[in-house]
Amino acid sequence: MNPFRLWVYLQTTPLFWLTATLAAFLVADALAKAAGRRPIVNHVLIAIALLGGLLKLTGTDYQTYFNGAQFVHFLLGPATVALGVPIYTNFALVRRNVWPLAAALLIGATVAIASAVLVAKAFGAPRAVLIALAPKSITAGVAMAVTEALGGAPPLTAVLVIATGILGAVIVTPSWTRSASPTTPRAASPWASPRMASAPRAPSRSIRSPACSPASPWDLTPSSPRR
Amino acid sequence: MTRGFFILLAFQLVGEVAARGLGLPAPGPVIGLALLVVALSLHQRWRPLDEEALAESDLGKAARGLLAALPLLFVPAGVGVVQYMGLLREYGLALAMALVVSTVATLLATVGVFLLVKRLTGAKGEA
Repeated sequence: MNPFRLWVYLQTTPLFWLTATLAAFLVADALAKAAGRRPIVNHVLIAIALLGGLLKLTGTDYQTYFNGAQFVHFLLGPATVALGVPIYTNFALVRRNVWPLAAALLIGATVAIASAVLVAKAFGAPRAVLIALAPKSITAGVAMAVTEALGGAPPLTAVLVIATGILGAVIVTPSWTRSASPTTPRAASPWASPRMASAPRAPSRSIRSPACSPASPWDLTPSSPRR
Repeated sequence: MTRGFFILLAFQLVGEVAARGLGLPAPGPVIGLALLVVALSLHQRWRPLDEEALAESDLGKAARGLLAALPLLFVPAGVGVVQYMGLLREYGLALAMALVVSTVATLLATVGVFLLVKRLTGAKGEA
């Protein structure tokens, strides 16, 4: 088999791009780890950049890539449902603060959407960009679903959610770690920061981290601000 | 594990059917999520379900496994941004400004409102 025919074969099987997706993620994760997991070195963003570069280099279109990667993508649905487990586990915490949380969710969600859309609109962004931008403060899986329901571009939303998460972590982490008590390891994690403004990071370390009010159709996954 | 994964898929399926069938504005998986929380609360009513038991159940294990892999699951959709590089380049400044202003405003508003309402309602207990 000559190399060209081999490449054509690889393009038609989901195996190649599925493997490449996992490989890119592992490389990106190793890089983030080497960088001390600073929020600015985001493994998801690096994996996306690596794969985007590889697609460009090989002249592969996104549809071909997605034929393979869709098997990973599919799991986003059940994973979103799975967020119900940590939410339920944190319910006692939510119930104790139900009014402050409800008010903070309502106002925070409104501010998040309105401020982003208004600023982008002032800079002349078209409707397609505004739709992708509006749900940027929700956790990525839900945000993409919302954008899709609104007829926007979910990939754009994914990148905006991750960027929001990085920004939120960069802004909050210094003050947060300073005010956190040493007896609460959860608060010392940058991902235990108020998740209202930015909620892209999955609870990759602790299943208990995202608390959220299910009364809201927007999964805003705020862990309650702690003082 | 199979049972746990089945429960998650079943809730997503019901969520999708509800979203499409009833024309609900929320995405199917999000409705599935809400229904799962409701179901767990109802279950708790007649059979106590502590945190540890839930974590060690089939559902708890499946959920933990999937959520640990959550960042990876965003990658395929995120790579789709290659189709929108033109838009990103053209409106990069607008998007950057929107993100910075909105993130700061949202953080301040959320924490502010939370603390204000907590003080007003005099809620007790740790936050």
